Amino acid sequence: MCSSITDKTEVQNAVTISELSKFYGEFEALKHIDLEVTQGERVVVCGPSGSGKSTLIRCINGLETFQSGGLEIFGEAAGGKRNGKTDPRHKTGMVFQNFNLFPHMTVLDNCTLSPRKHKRGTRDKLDALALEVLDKVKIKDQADKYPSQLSGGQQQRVAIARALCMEPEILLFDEPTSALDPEMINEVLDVMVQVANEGNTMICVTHEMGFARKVADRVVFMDAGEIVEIAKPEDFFSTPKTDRAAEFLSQVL
Amino acid sequence: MSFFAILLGIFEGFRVTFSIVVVGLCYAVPFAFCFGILQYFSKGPLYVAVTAIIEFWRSSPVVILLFVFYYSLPAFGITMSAFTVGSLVLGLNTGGYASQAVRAALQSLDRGQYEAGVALGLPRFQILWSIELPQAVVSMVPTFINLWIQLIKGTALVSLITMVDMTARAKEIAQIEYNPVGIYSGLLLAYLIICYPVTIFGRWVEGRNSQEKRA
Ligand SMILES: Nc1ncnc2c1ncn2[C@@H]1O[C@H](COP(=O)(O)OP(=O)(O)OP(=O)(O)O)[C@@H](O)[C@H]1O
Ligand SMILES: [Mg+2]
Repeated sequence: MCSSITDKTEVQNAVTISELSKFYGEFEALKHIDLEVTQGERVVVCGPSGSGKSTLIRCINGLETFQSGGLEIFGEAAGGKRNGKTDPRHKTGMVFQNFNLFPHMTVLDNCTLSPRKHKRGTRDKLDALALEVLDKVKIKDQADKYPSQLSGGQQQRVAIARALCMEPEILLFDEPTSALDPEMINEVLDVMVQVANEGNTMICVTHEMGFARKVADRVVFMDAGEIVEIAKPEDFFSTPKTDRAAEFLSQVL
Repeated sequence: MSFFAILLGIFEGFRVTFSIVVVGLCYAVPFAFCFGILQYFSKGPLYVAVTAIIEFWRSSPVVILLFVFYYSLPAFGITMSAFTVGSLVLGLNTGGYASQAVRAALQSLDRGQYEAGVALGLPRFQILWSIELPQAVVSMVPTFINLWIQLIKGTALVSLITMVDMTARAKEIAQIEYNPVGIYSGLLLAYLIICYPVTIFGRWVEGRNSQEKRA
C-alpha cells in the first residue's frame, strides 16, 4: 500500500522513510512509517488533527528526532538527530504555518541570512539572487520592509522566498495557509503552485484540496500516527479506499 | 558653605563613584551575558553550577560581600584594593540580576525563531548570535537600564570600605559643618544628577527599538 505508485523507477529517491517510529515519552506519534518520495515529486499529506503530519515533516528536516527506523535524503542516511553541516537534511527547506520570519531583519535580510552564513557568495550577489526570488513570489517591492509591516499572505510568501534562497532540493510545507485570513490564502497557493511547477520536490501538509488536486502527484493520508492510504489525488478524492479517509474527506470537503 | 559649594564638595567624589560604575559595568555586562546564556543552554550538573554562581552574587547582601572581600579575604592571603572589591562586588551583584534578564529574554522568544534557524541549516551558535540575541537584547533594555541605575545608587556603599566617593565626601563635609539638611539633600541631588541621564538614555534606546520595527 505504501509503495510508490509512480513507475519512474530510474528516478532517484529524494526521501526514503522506512519503519520510522517516533515517540513523545510513551506516546507513539509516528508508527512504523514507510514512505518514498522521488525527485521532483509533489506529495500532499493530509489527515485529522493530531494524526502526526507535522511530526513526520519535522522528522524529515531534523526538528524532531525519531527513535527507530530509517530516513534517507538522496540516499544519504540521516540519523534521528540533525547533525551539523554534514547532515543531508541541509538539502531541505521548510515553510512553517506561522511563517517564523525574523522580525528584526528586513525581508531581504531574512532571505539572505542562510546563504550569507553558508558563504554562498558576496553580499551583492546574494542580494541580487534574493531579489530575483522575491520577484518570483511577487514581493520584490517590499524587500526593504520589516516582516511586521506586511500582511500575513505577504509574510508567508517571504517565508517561501527565504526557503527557496537556500536552493533546497526538497521543500517542506507545514500547513502554510492555515494561519492566514481566507482572502490571503490564494496568493500563497498561487506561489506554491508556481514553485511546484518548477519541478521542485515538495512535501506539503495541507488541507487545501484544490491545491492537492492541481499539483499533487500523490496524496498521503495519515491517521493516528500511521499512513493509512496513499493514492493519486483524483482517486483519493473520488474513491478513497479506506473508511477513515472517506470519513475525513466528508468532513473537510 | 553655600548649597552650591556643598554640591561641588560632594562632586569631588564623583570620579570614584563614576569609575566604580564604569568598571562595575565591565564586570556586570559580560557576567550577565555569559551566565545568562549558559543557564539558558545548560542542563544537569552544569546548570546547577551556573545557577549556584548566579545565586551567590544575586542573593548575598552587597554590604556583607564588600566586608567579606575587603576585610576577611586578606586573612586567607587574598588582598584586593578597595576599588577592585567595590567594582567587582557591585558589578557582579548587578550582573547576577542582569543574567536573569538575559535568560528570561532568551526563553521568552517564540520557539519558531529557533526552529526557523535550524530549518535554514544554521549552526546553534549562529542561531543564538544572529536570531535570538538581537531580539532578546531589545526586551532586556528596560531591565538593564533599571539595573544600571541600581548600580549607581549601590556605589554609595563603597564608602564603607574606605573609598572616598560622593557619599563619603558628604560625610566628610558633614564633619566640618553642621548642615544635615543641606548636605544630604545635596547628596540626593548629586545621585539624581548622574542617574537621570541614564534614564533618558534608556528611553532613547527603547524609542529607537520600537521605531526600528515600525519604520
Ligand atoms: N512536543 C510534543 N510533546 C508531546 N506530544 C506531542 C508533541 N508534539 C506533538 N505531540 C503529539 O503528537 C501527535 C501528533 O502531532 P502533530 O502535531 O504531528 O499532529 P498534526 O497531524 O500535525 O496535527 P494538526 O493538524 O493539528 O497540526 C499529537 O497527538 C500531539 O498531541
Ligand atoms: Mg500540524
